[in-house]
Amino acid sequence: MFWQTIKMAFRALSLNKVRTALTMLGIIIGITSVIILVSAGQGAQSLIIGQIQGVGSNLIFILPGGSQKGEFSPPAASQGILVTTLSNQDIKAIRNPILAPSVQYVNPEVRGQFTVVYGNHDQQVSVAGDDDTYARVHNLEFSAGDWFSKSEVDGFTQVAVLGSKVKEDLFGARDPLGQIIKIKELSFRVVGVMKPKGVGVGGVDQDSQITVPVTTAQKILLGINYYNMVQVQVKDETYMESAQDEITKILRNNHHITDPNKDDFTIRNQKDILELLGTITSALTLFLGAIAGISLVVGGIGIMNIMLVSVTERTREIGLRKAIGAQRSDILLQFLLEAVTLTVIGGLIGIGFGYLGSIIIAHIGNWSPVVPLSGVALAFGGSALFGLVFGMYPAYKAAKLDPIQALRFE
Amino acid sequence: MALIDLVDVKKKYRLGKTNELEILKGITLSIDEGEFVAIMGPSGSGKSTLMHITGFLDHMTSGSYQFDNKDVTYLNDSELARIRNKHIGFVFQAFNLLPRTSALENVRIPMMYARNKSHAQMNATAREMLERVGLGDRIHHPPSELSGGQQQRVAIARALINDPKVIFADEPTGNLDSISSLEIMDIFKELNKAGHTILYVTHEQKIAEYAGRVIRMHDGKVLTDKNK
Repeated sequence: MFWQTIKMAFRALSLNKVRTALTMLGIIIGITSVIILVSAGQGAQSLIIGQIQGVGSNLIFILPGGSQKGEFSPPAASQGILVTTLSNQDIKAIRNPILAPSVQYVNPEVRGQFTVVYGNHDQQVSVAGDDDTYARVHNLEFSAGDWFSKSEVDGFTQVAVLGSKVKEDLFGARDPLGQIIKIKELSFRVVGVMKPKGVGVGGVDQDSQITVPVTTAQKILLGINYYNMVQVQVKDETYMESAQDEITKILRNNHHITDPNKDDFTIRNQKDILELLGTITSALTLFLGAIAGISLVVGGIGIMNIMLVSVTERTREIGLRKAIGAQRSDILLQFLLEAVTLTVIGGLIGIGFGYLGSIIIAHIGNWSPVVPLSGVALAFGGSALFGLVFGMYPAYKAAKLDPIQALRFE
Repeated sequence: MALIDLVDVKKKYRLGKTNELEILKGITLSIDEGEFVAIMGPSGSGKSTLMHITGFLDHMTSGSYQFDNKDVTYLNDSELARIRNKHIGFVFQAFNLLPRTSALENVRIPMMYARNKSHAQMNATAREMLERVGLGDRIHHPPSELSGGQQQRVAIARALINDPKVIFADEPTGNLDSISSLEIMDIFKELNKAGHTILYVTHEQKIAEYAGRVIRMHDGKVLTDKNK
C-alpha cells in the first residue's frame, strides 16, 4: 500500500512537470543555500583557527596593563593607555631557566609607526622590533634573504626584514636585498623579505610591516626602555599552565604586586583566543544558516500553495476515491506523501547543488571544503519535515472533502 | 429478507439560516437480492439523493436503513467508506476514471483500498474483470484512448472488482450515444442474470425498460413502484 501510494505520488507529480519543477526549485534553493552557508561558515572557521594554530598553540602573550573586569576585557595597553611596566629586567627573569623552567623562547616586542623612504618612495609603515627567535617560533617563510641573527640583535644593528606588501610598494619588481632604506631618517639594510602571510595575531597585517631587531627598535628608533608585548613560547602545550604561573609569579615579584586583582600585566594564550574566535565564528555560521532557513520556509509555503491548488484541481478524483472506499487516512497519506516526495527530491537535488557550491566557495575562499555530514542529514530530514508540515493542511483539506460534493465539483 | 430496507427516510438541506429544503419526504422502500431496479423522475425529484443515501455516500436526516439485515442508520464516515469499498459498486454518468492512468490501474484502485490482495493478485483480478466487460485487449490504455462506451465498461469493471452486493449506477448512459448506451445496458442485464443486484437512475424510458422494476419519483416521494 505504501509503495503503491509513493508510485501514485510520483505519477501525480510527473503529470505536471513544469509546476513540479518550479515548486521544487523553492526547496532546492533553500537547501542549497543552507548547505553552502553552513559549509562556508565552517570552512572560514577552520581556516581562521588553522591560521592561529599555525602560529603555534604553545604561545603565551604578555601585555602590559591589567584587565580585571572580565576575562576577555581588553588590557589597558590596547585601549591606548601607555603602560611602561614591561621592562628588560622582566625579560631577563622570564628567560632565566631556574625561575621559569617551562619557557623555551621569549620574544619581547616594540612597535612604532614611522616614515620609511626608499629612493623617491616614502610612506608610513608600522615597524615592529622583534627578537631573533621570532621567525622560528612563528614558522615564517622568506621569499628572499633571511631573518636577522642573534648577533645582529645584540649589536643593535640597523637591518630590516620587509613584509611582502611593503616590498612591493617600495621596490616593485626590483631586488631589495642589501639595499638601504631610511626609517625615521636612519639607514637600514634590507636582509630579508617575507612571503605573504596575512593578518596575524592581534590584527596586525604582517605583510605591510617592517621588522627590525628589538634592540634597534627600542633604543635607536623609539628611545624607550619598556616593551609593548612579550611573546613566550612554552616548551610543550602541557606546560602552558605552569608557564603562566611562573610568569605571573616573576612579574608580580618584579613589580611588587601583592594583590592579584591589581596586576599591571595581562597574560593571554592561544587557547583563550581560539575559544573567543570559535564563539564568534559559530555565531556567524548560525546566523548565516538562519538566513538560509528563511528561504527554506518560503519554499515550504510554495509547496503548500501548490498542494492546495492540486487538491482543488483533483477534487473529483478525491470524490471518486472516497466513493469507491478510500478512508480519510488514505487520502491524507496520498497527498502528504506527494508533498514529502516533492520536498525530499528537492532536498536531494539541493544537497547535490549545495555540495558543488560549497566546493566552489571553498575554492574562492581558499579554505578546504567542509560539507558537514550532520548538515546534509539535517537538510534531508528538514526537507522531509517541511513536506510533512506544509503538506499537512492541503492533505487534511483533501481528506475531509465530502464525497458527493467532491464528485459534483466542476 | 430484503437486501435494502429503507423506512421513512427523509433528507433535508439547510439553505441559509431559516430556509430548509426537504429533498426526500419520507421514502419507504425495500429491494431484494438479485433485483434490477430503475429509478426515474424529473430533476429535483430526489432520485440522486435517494441513490446516494442508499449507496452510503450520504447521511439521511431521519428514518432508518437496514442493509443485509444490519442496521446501518448510524454509521460514521470510516464505516461508510468500508461498506462502500466492500459491498457497493458505483458507476457514474461521467465515468470518473483517473486520467492518464491505464484501464488496469483504474480497475485496481478499489482493491488497493481493500488491502486484501497482493500486487500480483490485484493485477490478475483486474485483468480478468476487464476481459469480462470485453476490454481484454485494451487494459494498458488510458481513458483518453478509449471511447465513451469503453470508458464506461472500465468503470463497470472497477465497480465489480471487490465483488459487491449492489451496483449503483447514476445515469450510466447519460454521456453515451444510443448504440453504446444499449451495449452498456446489455452488460448490466448480463450481470443481473449472473445474480448481481443493480440499481440505476435514468430519465430515458428506453433505458428504464431494461429493469425488472421501475420506481418513479416526484417531489421527494415515490410516485409509482411497478414490477414488470
